[in-house]
Order: sequence, then C-alpha cells, then structure tokens
Amino acid sequence: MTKCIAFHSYKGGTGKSTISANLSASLAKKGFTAVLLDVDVYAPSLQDYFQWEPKKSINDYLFENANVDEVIHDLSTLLNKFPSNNGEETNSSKGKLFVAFSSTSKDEIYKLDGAVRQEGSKIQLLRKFLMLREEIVSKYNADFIIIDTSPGIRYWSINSLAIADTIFLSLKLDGIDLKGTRLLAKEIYESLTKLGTKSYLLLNRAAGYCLPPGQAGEKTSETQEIYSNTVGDQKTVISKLNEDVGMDTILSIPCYCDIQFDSNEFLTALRYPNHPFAGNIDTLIEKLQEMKS
Amino acid sequence: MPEVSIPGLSSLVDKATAEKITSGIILLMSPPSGGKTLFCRQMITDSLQNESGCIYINSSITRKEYENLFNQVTDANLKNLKFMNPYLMPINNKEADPSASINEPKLSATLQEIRKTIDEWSSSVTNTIEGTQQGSASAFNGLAKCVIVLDSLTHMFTIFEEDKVLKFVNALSFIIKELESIALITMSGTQSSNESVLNKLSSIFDIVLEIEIQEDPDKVKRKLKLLSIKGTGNKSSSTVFSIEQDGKLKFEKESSQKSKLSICGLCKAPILEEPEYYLDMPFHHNHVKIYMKLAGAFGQARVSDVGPSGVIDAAFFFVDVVGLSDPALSVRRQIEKIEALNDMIGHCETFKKASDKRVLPTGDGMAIGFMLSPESPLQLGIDLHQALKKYNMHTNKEDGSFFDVRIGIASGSVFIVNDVNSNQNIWGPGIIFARRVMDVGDGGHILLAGPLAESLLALDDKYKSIINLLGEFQVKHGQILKIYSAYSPNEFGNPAIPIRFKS
Repeated sequence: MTKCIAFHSYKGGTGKSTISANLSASLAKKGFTAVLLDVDVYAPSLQDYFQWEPKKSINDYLFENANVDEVIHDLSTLLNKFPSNNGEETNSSKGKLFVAFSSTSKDEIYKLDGAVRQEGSKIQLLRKFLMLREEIVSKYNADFIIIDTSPGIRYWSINSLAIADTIFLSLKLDGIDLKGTRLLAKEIYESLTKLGTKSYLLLNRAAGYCLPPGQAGEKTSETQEIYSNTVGDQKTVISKLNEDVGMDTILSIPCYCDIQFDSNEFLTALRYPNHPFAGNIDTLIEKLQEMKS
Repeated sequence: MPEVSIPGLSSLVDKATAEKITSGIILLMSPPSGGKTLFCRQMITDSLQNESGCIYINSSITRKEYENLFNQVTDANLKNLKFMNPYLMPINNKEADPSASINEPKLSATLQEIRKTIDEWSSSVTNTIEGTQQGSASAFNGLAKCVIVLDSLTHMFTIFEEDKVLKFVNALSFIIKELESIALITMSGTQSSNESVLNKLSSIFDIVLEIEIQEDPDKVKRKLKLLSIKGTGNKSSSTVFSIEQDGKLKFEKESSQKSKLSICGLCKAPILEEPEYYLDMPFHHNHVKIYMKLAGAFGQARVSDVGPSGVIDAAFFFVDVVGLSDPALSVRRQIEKIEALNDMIGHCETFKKASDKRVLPTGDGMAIGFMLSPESPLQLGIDLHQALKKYNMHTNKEDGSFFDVRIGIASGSVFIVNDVNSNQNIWGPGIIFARRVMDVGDGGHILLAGPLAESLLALDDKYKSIINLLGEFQVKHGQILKIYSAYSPNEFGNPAIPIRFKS
C-alpha cells in the first residue's frame, strides 16, 4: 500500500525541499519505490537538487498537456552516482526514484495561479491533481509518494495535505515559526487528523551540532554553558510545543552549517552517506517503516 | 402476498425485485461488532409489526438477555415471538424427530420445538378463520409469515459438531420451504473466512448479505452488501447504515444502481463504480475523505466551490449510420450495421483508453461524452474511419452491406438529468451541438463545432493540417454555428463540402 507523505510548514525556508528530496533518494537507495512531487508551485526548487531540466512538468499534467508518464521522471540512475555507506560505487538495490517537477517558468506559475481563481478551471485542476496521485499509485506501484508543498495556507498546500495520509510539519525553533505552527495545528491539522491523517512536527536546524563560537574553537566553560542552556531551553520549548499543538516531534535535525552554506543545494544523504544529516534521514525512514508495520 | 421485512433490502435491489422476495433463506455474514444481532432484532421487530410470527434461535444468550434485547416489543407482538436456545433446550427423547437424522438430541429437540410452535400458530390462525385449509403452510399463507432467525451459526459450531449443525440447517431449510416463509441465518466473519461452510450450504441460501465495517475516527461506519441473490440478474450493491442509540438500524441512503450516473461531489467527474455518500452527496470511494478533509480545512462554505453540481463540461462525439432508415434496407441488415458500429467503436483504442466517458445509444448510432480529454472525440472519429475502411473492404453498395457514418463533434456543458426510469443521464448544449453539427454532414464527414475545433488548433500544430474551416451554418432554431471539417485524403474524413452547406 502506498504511503503518501506531505512536507509542510508555516513559513518558507524550513527545509521541506531538502528533507523531502533527501528522504526520497534515501528511500530509493534502500530499495523502495519513491515518487517525489514538487507541489511548491509558487517557488519550485527541486530541479536544483536533481540538476534536472524536465521537458514536462506537473503544470503540464494539470492542464492536460502531458500524461503522467511524461511528467514523472525516472532519476534512479542518480542512486548509482554516489557511493553507498560501505564505500561501494554502485547501488545494488532495486529501489526506484521518480520525481515530478513543478514548472519554474514565470508564465506557467502565473497561469496556474490564475486558473485556481476561476471556479471552472479550479475544479478541473483539482480533479487532475487527484488523478495524479491515483495514477502514481496504480501505474508506478509506489511505496512512498513524497509531496513537497508550498508553505502556509494556500490552495495547493491544503490540497496536498488532504491527499496525504501523513504530514510532516517542518519548523525552525524561532518565535514566528512557533506561532505559525500553532496556528496551522489549530486551523488546519486538527480537521485532517480527525479523519485519520497522522501529523508530526519535524524540527529542523535545531541546536546541537555546532558549538557556539568560542575563542579559536576552544571549549571554554562559557561556551559550554551557553551551549548547554540553548539545548536545554530547546528541549523545554519542544516539549511545550508538543503539548500545545497535540503533535509529537518525529525528529529533530540539528543545524548543519556545512549544508546551509554550500553554494549548491545537493542530495547530502546520497553524496555523503556518513554525514550526520544522512543519519537523521535514515532515522526518519526507520520511523516511517515502524508506522507502516 | 405478505410482506417480508429484510432491513435495508429496498436499498439493495430495485422495487420489482424486492417485491418478488417473499420467501427463502438469507445468510448474513459480519465481522464482530458489525451489528448482526441488532440486524436480527430489527428484522424480527419489523416482521412482528407486519403480523408475522417469529422464532428467534440463539445459542449464546440466556432468556433474560433475550428479554432485554426485545424489551421494546409490545406485549401484543411479543406473543408472536418465540425464543429458543438450542444449548439450553430440554431433551425429550420421546419427542425427538428421527426423520431429521441429526443424532444430536438438543438440535433435534430444537427442531421439534420449531415445528410445535408453528403448529400452535397455525391452529390459532385456523381457529380464527373458518373454512381455511389445514396445515402449517396453508395457514400462514395469505395471513402471516413465519420468520425464523438463527443467530449465529458460528456459535452453534462451537457447541455442536459441524456436520450435525449442517444437518440441522438443512432440516430448517425444509421447514422454511414448506411454510414458503423466510429465515435469516447469521455467521461471524466474511465470505472468504467462511468459504468452507458456504460451499457446503451454498444451495440452501437464497440471498447472501455481508456487513463490512469501515473504520472512521468519528464513528463506525457499516455497509450492508448484497453478495448474491438467486433467480435475479442483480448486480452486487451495497448501502451504508448506522446503529442508532436505541439499537435501531438506520440506512443512510438508497443505493444507486450501477446503471445510474452520479457525479462525484469532489472532482465532479462521473462515478463509474458504486458511489459513496456523504451529506447526501455521491463521491468516488477515494474522494469522500479528501472532501471531508478539505471541508474541514477550507470550511464547508468554501469547499462547496469544488462541491457537487448538476453541470459538467465534456467533449462529445455523435455518430449515426448513413441511410439506416432506408426502406430498401432489411431490418436484419440494419441490425447488422448497428452491431458492427458498436463493435468497431468498442474496439477503438481511444474508446478503450478513455476512463471518464458516458455512452448514450441513440438508435441508429450513439453519443459519447468524454469528460476529460477534448482530443478524444476527434481521435475516436479517426480510429472509427480506419476501422470502417477495413470493414468496407468486404462489403459492396449493391447488397446494402456498404457502411458509412457521419460524425459530429462539439464541446460544452451538460446537465445531469433523471430519465423516466430514474436513471441519471446527461443532456445539454454540449450534446445538442454535436448532434446539430453531425446533421450538417454527409457520409464520411467528421465535422467539428467551432469552439472545440479552435481549441484543438491552439493545442497542437498537428491539427492544423487536418482541421479545415467550412464556414458558418444556420442550424435549427436559427442558431448559427461555425463548422470545421476534419479530414486527411485517403485516410479519414470527407474533403467534400457537405451538401447542406452548399445549399
């Protein structure tokens, strides 16, 4: 049975695309069939992760200018491009990685935005969106459909949440994100979880990986204290947040400077399988498998 | 004919079929907590109200539990209800029925008790109506039914040996046949889990029902499914029901027959399978929860934007056989041509691949609505012409076997309408335009209404070489239509200007 997971957030920049792309690639590497959908239609970015320029996009499918096979791109060869954990060059798993991209063309984004404002076309688009999921399930025999959504309360993000059976709400632990997350939990998630959708918080860029700046990298008692306080405060915030929004935190991914400041977005989990970020993605997969069983 | 009261039956079969069901044995399967016992109670209380006599056989409850179960039945009706627990049945060797050959004293005693009860009711009925015939069957016939409910067979298997229970059921079936009455037998589990028993008793059951539980976070949703019914061509159907606080079964909605066309309340596409209902709106099975989620997230008022409507947009293909009503053509030849047309269209790839379509036979042809792709009607026209070309290689005009069609294609809105048989059908400008456009053409023409032709021309350059503007034409009621003709010499279509157009 296909598991459909949507990554959502209140604000942008919380790591939805990074985590969803890396999760999809890692799932495929582990032998699953994963289909990643870029439904962040207003700011699509997955093309950068996969270095892929699709001829046909989800927009074409929605407007009936392409069939499902034209917009679902088989990127499984990527799995062989990077060494696996044991250093081997090739991927021996039978996993498959498929990705459907949103169009990055300004005109296409305007067109889609305009079409959802008209009742007639809005319904046609929703129907096609529902069909996309159904066709992926039936034609691609997907184990996982991973949806990278737009942030906030927007037409396509809500539709994505409605067709998902599991939602990961990614957030950073800053004041605005926390406030927005509470709003989402109350206004949107409550109605979805009542109908069986599982929703979890996914903390990104949490403290814990890098030490605060010390003098020449020395671990002074002062930096140690700041570090301990920050991590301690964070735990309190998370615990209170879980209680407030009635959602569990499935994973807390620390802030990795080496990912944040790289000039290109990349698939860390594939490229650097021993990076702690890849370990976090593996943990997420283990938790998903526990949910499935 | 006395009425039989099978809960939910009217939602599962059409009225005519329901009226024909006056006797027989019904099997009801259900998982635990499916509501079997409450279903039995409902059938009994409804039957008592219809002045039937009821025998309730349950090997797992005590008399006190039975009294609690039926505490809402009036005293007047209660006298027509007899409770029997085979496990607690006193054994009287002298009265044991050797003909049953059950070799299980308690089951034999239960059978005896059933017969005795029926005899008592028969005589009481006979006593009140002078001159009626004697005998149990005749006494119930025309006055009241005897309804026997056995709840449950699964529990009986835990107490008695299986072959003895099967013999008991077999003997019971003869009693029912004699009485021309009705029995309900329940089993725990599903069709697949009960396969072995079902195989042994398959000839006995006239109707097989199954309750399915659908987990819902808010409430348990139960579905009563008709799996089979003897002697009718009824397709499987189902209806959703809930159990009220007082234990009564409430059937939500009369099920829609498969021949009806419903429009999904979420995606507004026709529902080709059996619809699911929510707030009286039909949905595709996969779309109910999504609709509910969207309603919760957007709000009910906002989600109504994507909610149900009686109007859908589609592209239409209208075809008829040229000269079919020619009196020189024999009826046999006419039928051959209609069958050949149906067969050819049925084998066209475009027709086979289109999942969202609606076919309306028109006598000498058909109209097909394609709900999703505006390209499908033209592609079907091309496919059909190619199939016709092959077909006509073996025909000739002299003997009337030569076959020609004219095709009209248009798009537009259609309304969902109920026809005289209460089936939902489609009718509206979209289908009417296609008909009008077709009427302009002669044999071999594939004509398109302006808006659809222009949208195809804008969609793909490949159409520029095959779709040609004919001009404007005044059709019925003075309406002016812009008409295009699709053709490719020697492949499909007819490059000639239609005769009506010239005039």
